[in-house]
Amino acid sequence: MKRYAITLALVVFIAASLTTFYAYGADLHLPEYRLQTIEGDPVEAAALTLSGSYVGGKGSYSIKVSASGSERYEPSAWNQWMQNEGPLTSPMYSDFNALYEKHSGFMRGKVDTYSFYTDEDSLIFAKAAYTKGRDSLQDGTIRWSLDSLDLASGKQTHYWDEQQLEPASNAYAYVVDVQKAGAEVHVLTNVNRVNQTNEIIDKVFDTITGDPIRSIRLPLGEPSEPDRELQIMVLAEEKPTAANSRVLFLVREQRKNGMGTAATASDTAPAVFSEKLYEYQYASGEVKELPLVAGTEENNQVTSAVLSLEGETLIALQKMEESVTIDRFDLSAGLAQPQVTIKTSQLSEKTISQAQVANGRVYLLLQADDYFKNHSMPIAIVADATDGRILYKGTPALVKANGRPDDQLDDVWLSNMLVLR
Amino acid sequence: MNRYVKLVHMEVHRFRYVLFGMMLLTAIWQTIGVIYYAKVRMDGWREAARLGNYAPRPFSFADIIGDSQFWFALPILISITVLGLYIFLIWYRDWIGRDKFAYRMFALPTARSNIYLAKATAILLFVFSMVSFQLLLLLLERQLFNGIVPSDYRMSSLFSEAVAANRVFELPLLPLEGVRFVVYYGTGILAVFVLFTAILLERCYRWLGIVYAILYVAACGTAIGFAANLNPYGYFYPSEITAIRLGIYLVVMGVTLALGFRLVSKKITV
Amino acid sequence: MIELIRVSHRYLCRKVLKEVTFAAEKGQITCLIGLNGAGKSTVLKAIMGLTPIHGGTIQIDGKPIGRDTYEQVSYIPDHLAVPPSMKLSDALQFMEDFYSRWNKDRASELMRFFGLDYRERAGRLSKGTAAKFNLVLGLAQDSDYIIMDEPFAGIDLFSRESIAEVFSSELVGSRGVLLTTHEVGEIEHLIDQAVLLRDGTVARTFECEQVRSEEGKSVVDVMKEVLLA
Repeated sequence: MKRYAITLALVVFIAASLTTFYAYGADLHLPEYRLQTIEGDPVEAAALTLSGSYVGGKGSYSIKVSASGSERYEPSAWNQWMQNEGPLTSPMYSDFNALYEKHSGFMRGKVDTYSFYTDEDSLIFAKAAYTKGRDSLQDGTIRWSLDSLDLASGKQTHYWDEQQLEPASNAYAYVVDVQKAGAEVHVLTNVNRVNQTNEIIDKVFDTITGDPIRSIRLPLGEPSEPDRELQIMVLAEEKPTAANSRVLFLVREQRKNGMGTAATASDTAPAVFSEKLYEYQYASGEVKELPLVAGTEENNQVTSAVLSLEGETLIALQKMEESVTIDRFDLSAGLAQPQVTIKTSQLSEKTISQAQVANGRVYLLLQADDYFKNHSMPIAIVADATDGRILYKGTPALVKANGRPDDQLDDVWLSNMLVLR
Repeated sequence: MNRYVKLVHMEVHRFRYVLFGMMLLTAIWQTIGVIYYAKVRMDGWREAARLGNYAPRPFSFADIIGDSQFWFALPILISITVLGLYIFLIWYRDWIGRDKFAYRMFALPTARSNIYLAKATAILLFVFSMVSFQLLLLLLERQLFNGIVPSDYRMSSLFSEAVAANRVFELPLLPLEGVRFVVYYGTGILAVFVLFTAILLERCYRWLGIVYAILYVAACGTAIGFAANLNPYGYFYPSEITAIRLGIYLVVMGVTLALGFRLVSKKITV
Repeated sequence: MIELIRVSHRYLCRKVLKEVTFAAEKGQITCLIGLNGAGKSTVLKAIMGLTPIHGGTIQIDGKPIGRDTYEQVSYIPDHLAVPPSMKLSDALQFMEDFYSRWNKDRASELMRFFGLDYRERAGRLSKGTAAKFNLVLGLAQDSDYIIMDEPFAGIDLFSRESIAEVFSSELVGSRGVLLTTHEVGEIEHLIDQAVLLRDGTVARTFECEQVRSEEGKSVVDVMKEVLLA
């Protein structure tokens, strides 16, 4: 045995040091936090996650804090590789996880968020792809392909269609919304072209036969001058897979990039001349202009409000430092609901740093005035979007210090809010 | 004691001076680094105190490791190079010189695969010895740091922070997550076996064997590269990707070992 | 019996051995004789599995070569084949570690017989001393057969004598010996059977005693006749 001393010693040494390191030495001892309720119903905080960083000693670590606790996360490619983060772990939408689990065969390889539609009868996935002609003068082609799953029978069908498009040096097509209206599937497709107005095509298929029925280029206005272009933004249903009979468009007329008089070099954002809101009904094919609900300031024709479509309600959220206003517009009745305002004065002396509308709620992140002080924690608010009633108030709190050296620099910044829809 | 263990010991014994030499080099080099970079920080403190304008932040052992990036990593890189070359030399040394040990080694009354495995085990022992030694050394260096830096200037730091402070540890050598360690070193172990089999291809078929060896390494590299680049947003689900990666790893490992064993027992020419 | 039946070996495109067939009996000394490059060493390496064969079979006491072969047959290559930094005592320890048929007493006896120093390092031995130590490593195994590749090559006269002495001693005894040489003269009287190899083929196999008594020829005579013909 004595002769093998070197080898034996090396083996014991390796085993001892590596196990000790990975059992005790490799731990960063990051403190644990949890989103804790100050008042209201803790259930309201379920969709809420705060993210930011913990700074301690030499390092800065990204952390996420929710009502169930905190975890370190690293948005690096390596980590994604290691943990195989994929479509299953979307921090934005709750409905995909269940779909991937329940219909794993159908959902395989399908990842585009806005390409899905589901109701009690069927699950549909649509894809649009633009292929260039062989030379730039030739027409390009958009190809739509749809997969549909009959939830009752489990039967899958695949259908597709192609359509020529005017010559374009470079175009890019993608699906922005999929909806069903009666026996028709509408695949709303955005086609982007370099230096041109993007166009929206509603490609309609028969749900039963899979035959293409029609294809409509939505009339959303034309630029009034040759040096102007339209910028079309799509406002589809907030929950990507859910049904909605309509879709909205915010259309801005602005100066073409690079064609302006360019008063100053810093003036990079193109000048906006007008802004219009349109509604498109899938069933009737009707396009109608809506009044701009809110936030259009007197001298500026651009709305600073964040618009979203939840079912039949258009919501405009306007965030100021010390208040938020929510305007709601009932699209079926054509009625504007009374404006809701939430002021920080009703809460405490804080600044609103982030605001989001989702799930019929308004989520607010309030930062304290002493934001730069160590361990200054934000306050998260959940309010009812219809009346501004505060349903929940909470703040992240340290639950376990976890034994980091106490003479070290340590601080935590939670400045971001993620809301699961 | 079985012959595989004896063969491993023999290989360790033959390399012991080089191994201890690398450890000594690392220890001396890094000790100098710790003293030097601690002194730089201390001088900064004294200078600031003399000018009396501000008191700098106290510094920790992890800061020193962070300061001395390349200096600290250099002996490690040298050791990696030496071990990398020894992957080849552990075979070729038995063929060179007046007394070609290969004649005796391959005529030992044991399965030839034991020779192959023993050489691989020896390489892995050397690698993990160096890694373990580095861990021990960091502990000692921290003691040294605490000894030479006055407590007024000093801030404590976690061992893990010191490890994470140098990029050479943080990225490939001593990742803080155990899973990464397993993935990195698992790949490394496979690479050693692939190279061994490539060396045996050369030893068995000489000039033509070099061509075979290059093709074989390229094929294994492609398979592992494919496994690593499977896109979680593509056709496969994450759990399937993990299974495919593991499957490809095991297939490459299996083929490499099977081919290596076959070459060493049936095709080798001394 | 070490038996080779139509054994072929090629290196790249060159045929080194062409259907070599012969047998070496236990209790006999068989000598593979041939000019340089005739394939003598290759035959021995093939028996020890140190080079692949591309045709034919090799059997030891009726069994194909395998792991047991190495306990049954001790191989003494034409060089020491011990790492140069190794001390002789370590080399003996190494052999003892790996060979279950290692005979420690015989090893000491041989070390004494050849007058070898245990503390010497293998790399520092002179050619003759190395050859002696090589013999120690081979003969101290209680094997059934001994295979030797050119045991006399480049060795001075006195060393040769002491090595030759070993052949007639009980150190070899009832074992089968297969050795190669290209200068057969000095050991002619020791050999029972000769196998003449020419360009990878067996040119002639004969019992030395028989040729001597019936044809009145020495092995060297036959060798000249066959190989220079």
